[in-house]
Amino acid sequence: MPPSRLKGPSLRFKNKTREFAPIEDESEAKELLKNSDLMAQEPSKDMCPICKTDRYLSPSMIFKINPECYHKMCESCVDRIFALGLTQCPYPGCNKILRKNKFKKQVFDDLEIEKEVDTRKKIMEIYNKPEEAFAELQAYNAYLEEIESIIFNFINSVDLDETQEKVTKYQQENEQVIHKQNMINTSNVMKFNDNMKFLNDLKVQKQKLQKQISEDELNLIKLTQMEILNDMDDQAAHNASILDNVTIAKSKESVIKRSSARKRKLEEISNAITHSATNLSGTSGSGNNKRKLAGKQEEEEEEELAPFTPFVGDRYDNFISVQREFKSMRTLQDEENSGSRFVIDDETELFYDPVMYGLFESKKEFRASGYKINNFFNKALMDCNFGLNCIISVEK
Amino acid sequence: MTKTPDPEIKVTKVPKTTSTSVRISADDLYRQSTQFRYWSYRKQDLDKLRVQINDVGAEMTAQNIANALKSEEFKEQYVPGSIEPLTPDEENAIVTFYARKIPNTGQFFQMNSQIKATGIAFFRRFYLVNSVMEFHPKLILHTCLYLASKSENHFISINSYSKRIPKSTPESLLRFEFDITTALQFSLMCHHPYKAMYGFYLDIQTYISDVDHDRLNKCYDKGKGFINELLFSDTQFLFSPPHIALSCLWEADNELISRYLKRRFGGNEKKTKTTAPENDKEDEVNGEKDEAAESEAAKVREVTFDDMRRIIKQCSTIIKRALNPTITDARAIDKKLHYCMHPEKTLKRKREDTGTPDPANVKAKMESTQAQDPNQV
Repeated sequence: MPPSRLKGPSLRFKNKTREFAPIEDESEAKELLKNSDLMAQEPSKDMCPICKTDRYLSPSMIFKINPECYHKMCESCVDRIFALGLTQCPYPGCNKILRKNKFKKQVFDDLEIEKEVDTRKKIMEIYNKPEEAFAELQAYNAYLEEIESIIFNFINSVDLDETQEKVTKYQQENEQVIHKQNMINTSNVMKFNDNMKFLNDLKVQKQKLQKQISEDELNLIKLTQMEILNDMDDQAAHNASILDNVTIAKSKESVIKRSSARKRKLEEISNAITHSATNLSGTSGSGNNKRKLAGKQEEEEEEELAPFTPFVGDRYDNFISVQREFKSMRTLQDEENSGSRFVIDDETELFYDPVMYGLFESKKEFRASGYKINNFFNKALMDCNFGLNCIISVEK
Repeated sequence: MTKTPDPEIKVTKVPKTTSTSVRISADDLYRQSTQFRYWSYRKQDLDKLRVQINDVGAEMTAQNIANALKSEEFKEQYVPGSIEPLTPDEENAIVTFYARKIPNTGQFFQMNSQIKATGIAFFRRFYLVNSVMEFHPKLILHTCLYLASKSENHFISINSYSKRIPKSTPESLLRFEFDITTALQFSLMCHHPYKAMYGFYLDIQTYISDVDHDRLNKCYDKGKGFINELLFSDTQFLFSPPHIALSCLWEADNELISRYLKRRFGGNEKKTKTTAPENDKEDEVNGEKDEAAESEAAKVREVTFDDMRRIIKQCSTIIKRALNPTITDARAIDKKLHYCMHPEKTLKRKREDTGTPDPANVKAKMESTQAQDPNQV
């Protein structure tokens, strides 16, 4: 049998299925059509909707938007259309009058976010009271809530007129305060930036030094190896091609000197880094503290929390009271002996017990998790009072 | 365990100091402890208790004899009155004799003095609830120490423990464990004077700042020895740990501790001097009956110099009269005890004494001597 005949029916069958396919998936096809329509309406991300220039063909193209209507167009379109001054937005159906100098580069892909960021920036410049200006946290929170609701209204176009009115009213009322605060804020930002720059410089220096030091160390190792080799091999010492011990020792000395100087400098720099870092964190985290100072300062002092103890703080100050007693005893005796020998603080040995002090010094497990020898003494003193006033023959 | 006083009653005696406004002193804590609630007695109560328990033991002996009388052979040869129950003093002596073996055994297992002391306390407390004639001490002894090693966090497995105790199996050791814990009313916490003594070691330095440290160290070491000795006496039932510790220190160095006492408690002395005049007869151990009436007031007030002197005097008399029965005494008591528990054995012994040797009798005799041998532990 010829092979062509065999293939015949199968081919025909295939053709048939191809014919039927579009009819069966009619709804699917419609959807596809709809999608392509949408594609046409909404131009691709990389194409200017006005002049239809694609970024693929002109890679230097930059999109610009105007915060009035947030319609994007390429830079050349902006130049072309708004060259002569105020003009209507070229988008069909948009009646906004735009100005060229208000156009700006698009930062966020999503225009909604772009819009929100802009609004927020604008509002925050007006509503710029810091946390310290409020006596209570609640008031500050209410203020923040107000700001958020205004921003929401602007973004979602809710009660636009009313909100606008509110904002202008607030701006007029607090003009001076707002201006002052803005000045402070900008100066703060500048300070912060300066600090950061300084810190970065220091870090770069530090890295450089560290690298140099590690190189020095490598050098040193090499030199010592050479020295050892020379020592081992007497013949090598006579060999002119290899450095003799004297020169090695000299270069070694200089390397050590240099590296120690560098190490000193490195230490200074790292100190400076930690110092400025704490300064930075201090300025950024001061909001809370300042508010507390402005507000219920006195109340805070009164409500100073004592650590919880089940025995009404009894056990807690047991040792302290003993110390106090001890102190008074000592002062009494000092009067007698005329000469103070003891100063009571955490460092001095309260009691004579070389065995326990030795144990605490020599064994790590005795000092584990912050356990102090004074805790041990405290417990022992409690033990000697544990039932001291219980006379069993009387009480039972 | 009806012999021990009802704990419920004792609980109500504890003053209510738990309200937030009142500070709880270390003494209040001690009054809450089981050592104070269950295991602290006045001297006369302790003696009474011993007599009561002895009565129970005597009853047991009578019953043993009655059981033995069922056999004809015994009935023929039994002379009424030949088997006498132990007296309370004899019981105490035999308990003390066996208790003195505990430190050696503890040393064998490298236990510290705290564990040994707890073991001794358990052993002695057990015989304040049960009679020697009910449970032979040698059956209880090692189990008490084993229990103490567990309660004081020095765990030894029962197999390795029993391996090193001659003639014992894990089963024989554990057999009475529950009886012991029941007798102890499950109160396993013991407060020993060791810790209190260390506290005083520090406190003396506080009150006498120019104390000679060598002398203090010597006094402390010597005092520790006295504590070890007092474990076998009744002090643990009669005094609180700080009192015992202070008495031992006083016994070690009269002068130093007198100075300390004067400084520590001297402030109260002037107030109470008129009300509590020094009287040696009243200081005797038995003279506290009238003082019981003012017990409520005593709970509030602090201990005075005179109180301390009285307590120390009582304690030191006990230290001097320390009970240490000799082997011969103990053997005699043990023999008597053996017949109390097994009356039928007297018969065989008598037959043996008359001269007919019997292999079974020889064996029984060996057993009884081994039980008394102090070196077996």
